[in-house]
Amino acid sequence: MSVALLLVPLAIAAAAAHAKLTEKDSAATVCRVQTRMRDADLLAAALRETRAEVTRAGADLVADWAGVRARFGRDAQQIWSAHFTGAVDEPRAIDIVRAVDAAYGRQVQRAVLDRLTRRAPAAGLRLESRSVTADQAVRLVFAVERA
Amino acid sequence: MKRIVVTVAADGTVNAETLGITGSKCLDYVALLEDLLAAQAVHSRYTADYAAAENRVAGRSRQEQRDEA
Repeated sequence: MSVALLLVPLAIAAAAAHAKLTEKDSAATVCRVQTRMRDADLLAAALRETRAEVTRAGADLVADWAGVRARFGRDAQQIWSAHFTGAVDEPRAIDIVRAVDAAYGRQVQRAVLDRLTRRAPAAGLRLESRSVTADQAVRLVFAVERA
Repeated sequence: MKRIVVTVAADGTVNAETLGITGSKCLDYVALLEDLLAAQAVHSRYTADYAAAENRVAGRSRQEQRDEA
């Protein structure tokens, strides 16, 4: 062993690791939350994973669940914020964003694994084994065939 | 055999470890992994083999100095 690394995919904003409520209207049905999600396609896939009907509105994404709508737009740091309307209060909005965030993590996991297994051979890495741990992490062991 | 073990967590974060790659050569793999994973290394630490390799180099250097004296 020689070096151990923790890497954060570019699809995840390192600065905002978790959903948090940043603003709340006086009306109970409007909440604004900031998330760690950055990639529009992965976010759309994550929203669909939570059974949302997803449409694009310009640069924004609009997600509809039963009675709840969330409009996702990006800020200057390219981090998505969600604006909730409908039958939703603050705890419900945070629950939804947490569910979307978890789905987004799984989408990033899939994207990273796909990219890695596709590009590894050209970098001189041969996949020796692949296993899934109890916490659903995927462990890949590569043999280094050339430096 | 040199190996790289990559663990991709369900939240999308990645842990990677090089095996059998000693000394400063392991640093070459940081940039390779960042590129392969489209990721940024936010934390790194040297493990036992790195220190062992450095100690072997230091020990050899001291031995060479004694031989020359």
